[in-house]
Amino acid sequence: MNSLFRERQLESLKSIRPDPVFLRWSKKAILMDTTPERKRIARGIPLSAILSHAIRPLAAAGALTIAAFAFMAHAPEDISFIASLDPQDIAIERLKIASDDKSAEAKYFKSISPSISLALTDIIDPSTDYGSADHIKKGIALLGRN
Amino acid sequence: MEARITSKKELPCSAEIKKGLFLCLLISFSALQVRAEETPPPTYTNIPTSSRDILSGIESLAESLNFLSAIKSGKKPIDTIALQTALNGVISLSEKELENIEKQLRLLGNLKGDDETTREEYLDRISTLENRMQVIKTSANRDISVDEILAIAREVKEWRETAYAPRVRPMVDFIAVTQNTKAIITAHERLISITKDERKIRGFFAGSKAGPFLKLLKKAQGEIAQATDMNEEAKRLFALARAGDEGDGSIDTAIEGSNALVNAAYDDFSAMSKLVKK
Repeated sequence: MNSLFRERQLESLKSIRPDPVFLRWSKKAILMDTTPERKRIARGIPLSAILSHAIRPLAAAGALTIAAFAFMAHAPEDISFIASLDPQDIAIERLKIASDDKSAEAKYFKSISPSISLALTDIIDPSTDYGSADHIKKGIALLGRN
Repeated sequence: MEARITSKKELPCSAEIKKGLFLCLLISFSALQVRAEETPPPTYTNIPTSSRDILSGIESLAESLNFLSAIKSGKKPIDTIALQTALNGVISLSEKELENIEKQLRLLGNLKGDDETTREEYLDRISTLENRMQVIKTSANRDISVDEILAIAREVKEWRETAYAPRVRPMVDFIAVTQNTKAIITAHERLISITKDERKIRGFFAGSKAGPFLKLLKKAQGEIAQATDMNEEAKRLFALARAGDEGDGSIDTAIEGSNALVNAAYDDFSAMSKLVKK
């Protein structure tokens, strides 16, 4: 009974055309199969049939990849990839290098140094008020002005 | 029962007191707020962040000079403490100025060739000035007479005018020129990277929309070129001043102009960034 069933199964296998389910077995797997009957069946299936089934999905995958590359090459640029125009980078850089007036230190010396000389004159001459305090205050106000 | 009634009668009264107290507090608090609004704290937007710590020194010097002025206007004899405080104010401020310049010279980072030699020379000068300052400070803080204070004040005045200011001023110019050069290099690098992305960005814009972007790019290019020219002029004036020639231009005017142009270029970069994000 068992052997009769096996014979029928083999006959039906002979008649099937290679289908995708069948192709999930790689050729190696088929050949490594220890069952001599299966090996015989596998050898009986023409190689061209296996190849045609194997090549079809590969060709489809290749075509899809080429299409994807072609799409990426012609697709509009995503601006987030333009690092040179990153607003945050620009703002940080500006804060770091350009926000302070580079001549401010020189302006400070120009306005405060004469006031300090005047302050020393006020100290040296106790009889006269040279108004150095006001001079300094004006200097500070001038520096602080927007 | 009577006692209970009395206490019940007292309750609204205490609530009124509480209410009154609360109102008083509220009024005085709002009055304080109004006063705070009337006298906003001083802002020093034009003073570089690094120099803001010496402002307290200037302010306390101004206070001691005010005190001195009050004594003078009252026609009272000048006391030693008032003079000594004002003189110490000048010394302390000079010390802070030197500390600030030294800090800024060190913050210039890696310098090459002549610039590094100049910085080393200036740091040595600062150390000499600081040593002199220490000697003056020690003599001014002794238990001394009015005449001695006046003599020290004369000495400090002469020293500030003939040694201190002429030595410090070139340092300030050197810091400004070097900082500005670094700013221009960074802005130029940003411009180059935007220019490299120009094709990519042009592709992003459809047709005529690329116009405003390219206009901004061209404007920024012009501003950076002009900023570089002005900075070169400042460098030339600095070299002349170092060689003992005063020159006919002002270094800080050139630096100020150059710095404003770098800022304008950054305005353009930000506008370009906004344009592509639209």
